[in-house]
Amino acid sequence: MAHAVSIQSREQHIHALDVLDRVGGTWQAVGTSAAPVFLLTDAQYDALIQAGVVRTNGQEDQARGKKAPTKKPKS
Amino acid sequence: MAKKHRPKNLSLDDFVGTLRRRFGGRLAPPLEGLAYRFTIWLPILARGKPVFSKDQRFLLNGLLLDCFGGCSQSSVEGFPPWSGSWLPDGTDQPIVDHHIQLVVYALQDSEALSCLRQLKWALQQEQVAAQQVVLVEQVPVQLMEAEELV
Repeated sequence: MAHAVSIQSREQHIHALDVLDRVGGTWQAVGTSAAPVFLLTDAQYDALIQAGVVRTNGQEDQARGKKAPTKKPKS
Repeated sequence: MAKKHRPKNLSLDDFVGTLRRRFGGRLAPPLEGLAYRFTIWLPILARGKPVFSKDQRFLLNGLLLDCFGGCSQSSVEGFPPWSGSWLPDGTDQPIVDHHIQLVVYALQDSEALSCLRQLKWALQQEQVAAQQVVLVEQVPVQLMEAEELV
């Protein structure tokens, strides 16, 4: 089965490249740099899940993304 | 008079930005008919040392998406791994590089050629990855049309 994984952030994109380097085979990216989608084999997808790059529903693991800075209310 | 930026001051990020402004969204191929297939042989390890970094590959990946609408990429530890050797002038010790392949399909026109030629030039700049030559293959292809089965 093939998997389409939407990449949500630069950190997730680079982490995914790192993981996919170690899984045999070729993978594809489509879309734009702002909203890339990786088309992956089972093995590649499983490796991303194991590494915590994506959740089983294909979403980004937020714990690895950059948190948005919280605004302090003006006093 | 404004000073011109010399290439030695520019990073891959700068080059990619220029190429994206120039060619972004314009080079995606038709799904049938004439197209070019470009294969970039990107060295990532030479003598055990990194050549193009993960950050640089991220930039390159984004550029190919924005200009061509997609790309295929081989893994670093694929089976079999892609290796290439070359012999610099005046030495007898070959350098072995490990590569990934980036494959894109593009419109078969001069804009696509120009984009890849300029990208190749950028990848070969000393300050980018100290890589003298980055091989890029260009193959004219015809993406087949379907024929009615009667």
